[in-house]
Amino acid sequence: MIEIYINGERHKLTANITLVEILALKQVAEQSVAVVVNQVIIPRSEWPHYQCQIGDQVEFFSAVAGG
Amino acid sequence: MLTIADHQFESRLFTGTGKFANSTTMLAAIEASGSQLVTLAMKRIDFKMGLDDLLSPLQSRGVKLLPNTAGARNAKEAIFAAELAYEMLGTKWLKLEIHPDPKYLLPDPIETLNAAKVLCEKGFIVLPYIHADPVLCRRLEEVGCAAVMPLGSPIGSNQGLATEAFLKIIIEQSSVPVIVDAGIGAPSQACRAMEMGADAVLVNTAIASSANPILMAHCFQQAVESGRKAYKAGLGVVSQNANNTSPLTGFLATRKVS
Repeated sequence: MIEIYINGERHKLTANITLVEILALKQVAEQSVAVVVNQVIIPRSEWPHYQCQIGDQVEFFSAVAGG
Repeated sequence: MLTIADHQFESRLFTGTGKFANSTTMLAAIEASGSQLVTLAMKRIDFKMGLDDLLSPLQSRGVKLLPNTAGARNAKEAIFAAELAYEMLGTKWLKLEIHPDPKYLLPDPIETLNAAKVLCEKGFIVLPYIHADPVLCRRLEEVGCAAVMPLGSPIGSNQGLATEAFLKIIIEQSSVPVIVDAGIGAPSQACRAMEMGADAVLVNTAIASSANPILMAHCFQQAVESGRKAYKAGLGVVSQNANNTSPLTGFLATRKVS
């Protein structure tokens, strides 16, 4: 198990968990989000094989209503 | 038909998606407004609140999405937000807004120009939200912005066209579309902006905060259409003195009174 942060909250997850696996775990539809790890935007094409490391700050963003 | 970058719009009323009581009302209001371009914001997901699927119903209606960079306090943050929007929505269209002051939400002209330059070079279709500053508008045009979005008055204030004199100069000088954004609080004000020759207006709060947003959206649709037609027809000249619309001679003056 490794400890990573998802949108600021600490999680204990299996080592080498990928971004796609985290999205599934969080029940987030892939098509409407953007992912940032340690303040770097990770392109959609890299999500399936991007493996998280200890202490990673993973952030998921989505579109919301706005003017 | 209004053309921005390579895209054509039949409607000259653009709308925001914020502040509506619920998404059903928001979608019905967008429908009633006839808007073909709607703004969106971005936020870090709050997993405890659950996800509200805003995108699918908008996409199924065929409206074009214009993500904004609200929340960005400088050029660096705005550029990051633009890249985030591209990754999320697959669009390079962007409402660039940088307003570090939370009280008046007035845009920072220097950071906006710096961000616009970088984003245009990266191939973004940049529509910057700015003060009604004619000089800044020219500079933004020079760096490649697809349109300019000068404010009428502070965001969400419903104060109307407080910057009217400067909007006129911008409209006169601009070679890219001018979209009057922010502060338009009534259909009459949207109509006025269009009569002046604005290419489009962007309205959010005035519709969303109405007691009947759907009816108000329809009112704005008519006002924008009417204002545009009036601009094309050409307004009459304003003069200090009266000019009679009826003949003043040849009726009572020549009559013999017995």
